[in-house]
Amino acid sequence: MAPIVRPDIHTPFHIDFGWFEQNGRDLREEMYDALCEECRALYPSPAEKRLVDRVDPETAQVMRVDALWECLADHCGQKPGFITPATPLTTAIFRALLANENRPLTPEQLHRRIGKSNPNSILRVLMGAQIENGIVPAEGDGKQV
Amino acid sequence: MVGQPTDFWNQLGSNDADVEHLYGFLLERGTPANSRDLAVNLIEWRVHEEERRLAEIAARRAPVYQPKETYSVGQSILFTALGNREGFVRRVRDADNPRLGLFQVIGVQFDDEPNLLEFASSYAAPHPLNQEIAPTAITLDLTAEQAVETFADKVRGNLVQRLGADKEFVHLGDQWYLKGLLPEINPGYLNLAEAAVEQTGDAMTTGELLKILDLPETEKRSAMRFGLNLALSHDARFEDVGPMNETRWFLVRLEPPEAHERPGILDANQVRTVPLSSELETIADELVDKADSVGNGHQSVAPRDEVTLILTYPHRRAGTLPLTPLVRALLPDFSHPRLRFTFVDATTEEKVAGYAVTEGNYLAGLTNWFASRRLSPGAYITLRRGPRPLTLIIEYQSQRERSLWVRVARGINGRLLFSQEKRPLSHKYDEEMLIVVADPVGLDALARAQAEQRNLQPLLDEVFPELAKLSSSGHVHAKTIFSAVNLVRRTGPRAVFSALAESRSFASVGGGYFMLNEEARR
Repeated sequence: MAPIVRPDIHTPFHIDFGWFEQNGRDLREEMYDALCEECRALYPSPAEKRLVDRVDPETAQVMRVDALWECLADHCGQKPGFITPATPLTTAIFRALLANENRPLTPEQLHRRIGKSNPNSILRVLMGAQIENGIVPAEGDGKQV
Repeated sequence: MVGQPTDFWNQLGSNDADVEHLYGFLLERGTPANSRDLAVNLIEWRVHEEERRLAEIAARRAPVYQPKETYSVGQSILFTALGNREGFVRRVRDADNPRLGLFQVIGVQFDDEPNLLEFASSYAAPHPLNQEIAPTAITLDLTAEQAVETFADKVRGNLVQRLGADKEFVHLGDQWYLKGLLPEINPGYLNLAEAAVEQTGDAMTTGELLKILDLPETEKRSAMRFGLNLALSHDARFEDVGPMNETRWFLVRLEPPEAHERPGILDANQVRTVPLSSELETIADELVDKADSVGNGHQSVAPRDEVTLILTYPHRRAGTLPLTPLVRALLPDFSHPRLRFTFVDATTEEKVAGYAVTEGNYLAGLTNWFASRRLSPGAYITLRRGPRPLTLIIEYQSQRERSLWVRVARGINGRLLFSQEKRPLSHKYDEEMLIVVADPVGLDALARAQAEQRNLQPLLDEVFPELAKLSSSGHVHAKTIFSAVNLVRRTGPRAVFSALAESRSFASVGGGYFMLNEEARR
């Protein structure tokens, strides 16, 4: 098997949902915390899993998706206050991935999205001794040598 | 379709419908076509088909899908965001999303989808598809010309792979045709072709063979030509030795062995090279030899009409010359393993069959020419572009025969020895490179012993003092060392000069000369 090289600023990262279970944390709670007031009013309980119709922003195709994800991707995540200069770096990275529907982002892309720090510092945070908010290199996207 | 270029165009040429279309195209055309023409035809056909389909949809007045519109069951809609696919509304339901408010969801049936796909309708929120559309919006994303320009190479690659696996298609090089349309070339015709080539004693074009064979005119001329070429290419007696875009057939058994298999004496071990001084680099350039190169010898060079080479012993013995990029530029381009051409002696106009051989990069066919002119390693050979295609003028610089004091090499008791002797010479030569070989058999024995040797240093240590003793100053030119090393081991000048430059036994004294250093002399 080819060894996996050390991730760099071009390595995509995503949220590992399994990490939340293993570490006794509730991903839905974290997602709920990121919702705006308007969406919290619509969905008062993070524990309630509800599917809603989501309209694709390009094709208008409708898919049934989790209501919290739909809010984060299409509403709250698009608002200017979702990530601000005052948002701590680890929270900003986590929120950027939530707003991107957990599609993997590289430190370079994260930097452009959150508009603070720099790709190398973001990489250092992501590769720190402790995994923050379950964010790990996306499986299969790590470069091989 | 056209709206999904990467998916659609990148797969064009891979499916049964495409193959079926090209089958019909070749059937109607009745002559072979190259893969690019096939790709262009396929792309143009698909674009026209798509234009026709869109025109049909337009004629049916199917509306273009917009989320803000309301649709009813049974209605057909054109989805521009899905590559102008047409779908039929099969069901309508209320949407479920408290954040987005009231709108509807239509279930749409597409031809190539097993399940209904759902789309928003009566959806007034801002959406790119809700913008006003011009009546001309239902058009292809690109014209046939644009599609050809962008995707022809990819489609061509797909076609080559797909048609290559299809029993109905045959190809020769990049010409494709239908097996069922091939003219019948029976063994009798091939025997006749063999006799014709043998009688002519030279390669023959397909056209010349067709005239002789007098095949029944059941097909177009180009199809006959393709069929005969295909049959000859599958017959091991024949080989295409023609230049690019001209098929010329010759008999393998009439080719000299050295043209068919690289002579062992031309084998060169990989020897490391180091950056050389500008002086040695200039000399190495002058002695360009393919033993130094790792490429195929087909680098692009500014073409010249004339190239002068200095004959080295391996080529003298094998009856060959190096096919350097400059020499190759004197010949027409060729892509087959061998190109057959004619050497024409500049003085006598004697004609000698020559072969440019890709594998090993050499020109073959000169064994008798070298021998009859009694050329020694170091002789100048000039090659010139011939007045007619497939000819190469060859010339050595002859002079009145005189007895001269020259270096003479012998292999005695496993050692390469040199002496200064008076020998008759009738050609001009490079003073530093000239070595007359007195004992080819003895040198062969030494060459066998050298075959496994990787390091040049022991050979240099043996040869250098032998050559130095022939000079009152004890100086030996780098070219002389190169010529001497090549008596027993084919090695490029850069490799020899690198070993010289790196060795502690020798010291450069300028002008390309070296001497033994004090320690080595002791």
